[in-house]
Amino acid sequence: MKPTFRACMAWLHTWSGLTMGWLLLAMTLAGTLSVFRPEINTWMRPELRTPSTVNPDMATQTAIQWLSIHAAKSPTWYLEAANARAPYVQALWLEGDAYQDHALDPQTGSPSPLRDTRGGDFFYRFHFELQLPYPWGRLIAAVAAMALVLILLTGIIAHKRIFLDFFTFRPNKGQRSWLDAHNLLGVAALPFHLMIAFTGALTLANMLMPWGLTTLYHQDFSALEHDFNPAGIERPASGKAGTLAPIGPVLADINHRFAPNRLIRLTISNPSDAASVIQAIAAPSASGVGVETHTLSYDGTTGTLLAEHKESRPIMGFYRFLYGLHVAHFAPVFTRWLYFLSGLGLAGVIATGLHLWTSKRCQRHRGFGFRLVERVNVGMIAGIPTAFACFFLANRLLPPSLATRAQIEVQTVFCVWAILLLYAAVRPATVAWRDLLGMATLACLGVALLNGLPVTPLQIGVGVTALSLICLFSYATWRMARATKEKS
Amino acid sequence: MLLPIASLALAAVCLLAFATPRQATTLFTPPLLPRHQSFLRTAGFFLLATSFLLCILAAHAARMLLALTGLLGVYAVLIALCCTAWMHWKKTPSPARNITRTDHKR
Repeated sequence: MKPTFRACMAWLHTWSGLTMGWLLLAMTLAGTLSVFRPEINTWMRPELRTPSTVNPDMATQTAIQWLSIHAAKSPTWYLEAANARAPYVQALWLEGDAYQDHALDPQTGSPSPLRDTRGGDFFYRFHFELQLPYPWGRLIAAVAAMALVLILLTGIIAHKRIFLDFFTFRPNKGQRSWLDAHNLLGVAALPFHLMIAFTGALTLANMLMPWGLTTLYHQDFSALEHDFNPAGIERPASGKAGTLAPIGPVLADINHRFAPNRLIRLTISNPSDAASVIQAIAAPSASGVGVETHTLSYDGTTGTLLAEHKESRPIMGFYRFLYGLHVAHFAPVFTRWLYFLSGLGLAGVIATGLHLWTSKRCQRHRGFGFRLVERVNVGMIAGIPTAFACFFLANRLLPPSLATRAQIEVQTVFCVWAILLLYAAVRPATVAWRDLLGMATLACLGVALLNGLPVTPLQIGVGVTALSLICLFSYATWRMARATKEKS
Repeated sequence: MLLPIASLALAAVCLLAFATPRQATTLFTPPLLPRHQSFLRTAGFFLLATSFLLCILAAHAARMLLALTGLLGVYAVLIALCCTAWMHWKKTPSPARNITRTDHKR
């Protein structure tokens, strides 16, 4: 009998979901955490005891003073201005052959008072680079994003009774319960899932389809950059020494021109050369959704305005709107939490989908494929949250002055993840579920304890999230322990 | 502005949940009649449309629409869990009620 269209879509949904599910789960959880990237950055630097009302201009000035002394030879400084969410300047500059990425203290401009950590930037980068060198990480992430769009669309077609089952969750019914949870989490936040998948695929689209750009620009990426940002001025170093103009008046002019928006990013190229350029980018407007719509370029030595560009091209506005939807830089606290919850919902959809694959097949012959998926499911679904929680633990437990501590923090994540995957591979599945979920509970408990008394809004946010996860994982551990006991 | 819109959306999702055929038959004794379901569904969609309209008319329309869409998802999950809890409560009478029933039999 010829299979129906719906059956074909269900088949595609199942197998594309299985092959990309583990990767998508890791990307989704990292992306969900990066909604609170600045907050995680701040939490991971407990030395920041400054009041939240840091003067961003003063912080930028002190950072530039420090960089003028300690990174004068660097070809470019990339600075992210301090704000209420991240009360410090994040600076990136080239030192020798390696990029230095540090948070600079708003009072002194030096990175030394603050512990060296990747903070929330780890989750943000991992979300689309997967800790792999360029272009491999982005390429794989682009394929995964396209696959997510496909999985969602095929899932909608395969789901027969979307409206009938809309508010339905029937617990304690085995496979039926997992399918209900999968459908409920998928359908309830479907607009968010579709939006985040589509905009995610769009942001990495040139990785999969680079031919349009290469045909149009013939590898001349400076022309592309200029079309993208007409106010961006690229001047090669003149070879003559130069001094930066006093940054205070330049910042005052930037604030005046950007008002009511504020400065978000400052790029200073050739800072100790006569041909230096200061480029400023504005934060999203108070009412819009898009990103980076206003750019200014100044001569670095004189402080005179060289170019200004306010984005008014419809297609660029549309692209920036879609990109803005994905990164949610515009979002106030309430919307950020909605993004976070919807992201967790998407992770839940993927995890329940992966588990559903094994629970559908557990009554049949259990071949190597089944056992492999079963074990990897345990290592991924319970292992990723545990490994991510260990990143927070490592941040607080490693000595602040430890050399290369930022790298060690990241290594901790992958070591824990690998150990948990290995553990899941060698133990019976139900036992591994129980133990790994227990470890996830303990890791979240550790984060809650190291968070301290919830006094500030940041600590309250971390505390509430950690406690919610403790409840979820401890309940799951209890259920798995009961199942293990019944089985034995 | 978000609070009234959020309240309207909550009322809309509740009405739509009650009007879903499965919930209308399992949550209520006796089950809701089809015309009652239809009435509730119409009211739910009306409130939903009103909340979207208010978002469009608000100062930051795009942001409000995004927040409302996210909120509807959260409401849907919470109400589905509430329906499950209600069904569980209906099926499993509390021990206090059991005792009363036993006493009554005696």
